[in-house]
Amino acid sequence: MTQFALSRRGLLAATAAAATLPAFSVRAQAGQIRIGAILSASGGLAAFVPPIRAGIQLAIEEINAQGGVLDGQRLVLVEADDQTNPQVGVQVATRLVQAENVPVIIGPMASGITIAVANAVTIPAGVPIISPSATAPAVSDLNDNDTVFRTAVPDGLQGAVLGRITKARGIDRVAVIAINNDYGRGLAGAFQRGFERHGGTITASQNFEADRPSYRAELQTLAGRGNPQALVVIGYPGSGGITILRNAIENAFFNRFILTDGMRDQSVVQAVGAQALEGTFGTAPGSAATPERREAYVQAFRRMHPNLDPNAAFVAQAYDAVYVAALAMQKAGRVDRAAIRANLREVANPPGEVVGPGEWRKARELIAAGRAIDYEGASGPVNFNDTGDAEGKIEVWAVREGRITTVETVAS
Amino acid sequence: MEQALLYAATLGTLAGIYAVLTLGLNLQWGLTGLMNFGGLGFVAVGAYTAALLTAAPSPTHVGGFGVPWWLAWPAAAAAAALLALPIGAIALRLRADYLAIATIGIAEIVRLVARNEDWLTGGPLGVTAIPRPFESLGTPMGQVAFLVLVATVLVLLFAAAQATAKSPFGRALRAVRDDEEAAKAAGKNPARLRLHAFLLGAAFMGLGGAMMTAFFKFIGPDALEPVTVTFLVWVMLIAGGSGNNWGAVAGAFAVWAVWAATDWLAAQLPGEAATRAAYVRLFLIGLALQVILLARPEGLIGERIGSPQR
Repeated sequence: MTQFALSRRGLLAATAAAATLPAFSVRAQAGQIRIGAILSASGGLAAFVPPIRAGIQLAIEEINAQGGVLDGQRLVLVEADDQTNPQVGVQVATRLVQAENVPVIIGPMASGITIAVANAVTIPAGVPIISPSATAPAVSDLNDNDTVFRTAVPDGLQGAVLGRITKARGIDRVAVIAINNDYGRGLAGAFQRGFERHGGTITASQNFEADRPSYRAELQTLAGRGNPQALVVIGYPGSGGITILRNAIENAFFNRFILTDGMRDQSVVQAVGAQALEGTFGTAPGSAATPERREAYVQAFRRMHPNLDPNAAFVAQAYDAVYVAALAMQKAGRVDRAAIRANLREVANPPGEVVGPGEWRKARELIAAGRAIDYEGASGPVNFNDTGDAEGKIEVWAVREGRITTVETVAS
Repeated sequence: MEQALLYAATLGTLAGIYAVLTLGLNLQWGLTGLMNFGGLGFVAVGAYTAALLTAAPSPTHVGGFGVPWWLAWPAAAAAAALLALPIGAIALRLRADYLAIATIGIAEIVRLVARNEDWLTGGPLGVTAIPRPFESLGTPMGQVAFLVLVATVLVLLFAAAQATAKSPFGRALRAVRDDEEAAKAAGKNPARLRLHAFLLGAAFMGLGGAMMTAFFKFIGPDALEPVTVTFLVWVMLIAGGSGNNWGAVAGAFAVWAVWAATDWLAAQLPGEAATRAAYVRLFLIGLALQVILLARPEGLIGERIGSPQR
């Protein structure tokens, strides 16, 4: 062992060196504006992140290519990983706000993490955060001093629409299995209210714990009660959703599935099998954009990231979040937390000349000419209400020939 | 520059809280040889106790009593010790490895109760908007004052742990750890000594949990992860040197520095690589532990018996 032994002095020196590393953090360079992003790059939501990150990068590239922000400064992304854990989220948000000194943050993705980060870090510091995917109604109730915004549409609406279309497709009795967190419980409740209002019956409902090796016991209970025609699965692919679908199909507990935005991911179809999921339908917020605006975004996305899906969940919302943040800076004429907050509604809501995805140069010129603008995004009109929530529409999607396809968009 | 100092204060606060947890584990494992893999359970009980006592009233969970922190934090320590009492009374009779399994089970039970008993804990939504001491002082004074508070608690607990280690009680604990039969022959009651050490360590962990919720202003079941609570604290203690309170604190600060530095390093990488780096971080912590165990099994600052402790 001796030839491999470390002296205490050597070990202490090594750890001291590690401790001082962050002190050499890259300082903001002239001609750059650093904006923060908190994404769940590892943990339960990791499957969503690659296309969402690509959407953020696309918006930044377009803005930089069309003249940049203010007097031609480039946007630079500072990304942090919250590991799908609220405490880690608070730690990395602290780093972004205090060490990196970013004026605005895109994210976090999960509702619980958004609430924790807002309460502990960004509300006291006055930093605006724009979540592309936090959908729990509780986010609206934050006493946030107008710092918390979201381009995602809250779940109450999604649940109501899902209840209505399920009944409209001739399904009268369903069983519900929902992930045991704020997202799963909130959406399951909203679905139940919507479904029962239209005369449907919930035969049984269960909350499931994430990351179990098997859900056969839960599924057997659900399948055995009240003769349900379909199973509503509210969860995420990576932390149990795929296992539930597999268990249900392998054991013939259910053969029809109804999903929500959390499971709207092509990886689900690949993992479970296109045949078994043919005809499965579900809902997701967003995609309420006028077709030509959506098309402009989809084309640009495919050019830059041919291997990723521009229609994946929350990607357009993330893209739009970058646009409204940059527009608010441009409108304010300076990079300042309070100024961005004050101008977000100015640039996102009517009245004003309408600008859309990829039209950064036009927006710049309009702002320079002193005209009011109204951003209409890739995900929808992106109009923020009093609590900072985007008013939007709900997408109805289905699995057709092995691909997740948008069927229609439903207004609130 | 002011922002960088603020961030340093944040890191220092978290390191101080982890040092309190590590001191608690050192009392149990380092001094007495109790293999407690359920630190999470005691931290959680302390955290929820403090959260429910100090938070504002809310319809989503019980209480919200608006109790000041200086009452709630001792209550949190007491609650954690109270949980440890029946567990210790039953499980401390088990041999070391069985105790480890029993404590893992207890920690999981606590976590699942927190997740499912909505009326008590707010269920998956957790408890939000928990007040943090001194936050009315604003930035940056509030953060600095909280850091000073955590540091003061750490110094007091460190002094208590040092006094315990040097006292006849501490020597008896070591005797039970090293040779139970010999301790019995000398007239010591190993079961009682073990229970006392277990309760004391649990109280430290409960207090650490209370400080953690005050810092994060939030507690919920998603925040209670065995990796970031139980196992990180174990790594800190082993790396620092179990059996030595200086080692426990040094290990907490050193491992926390590595943890924070790797977060920062990962952030400098471009997108895709940053995702991979997130997983590499956990691997690196494990690797560091392996290297320390192989090359320096006594840790940064190992236990010294017989010679005066520094």
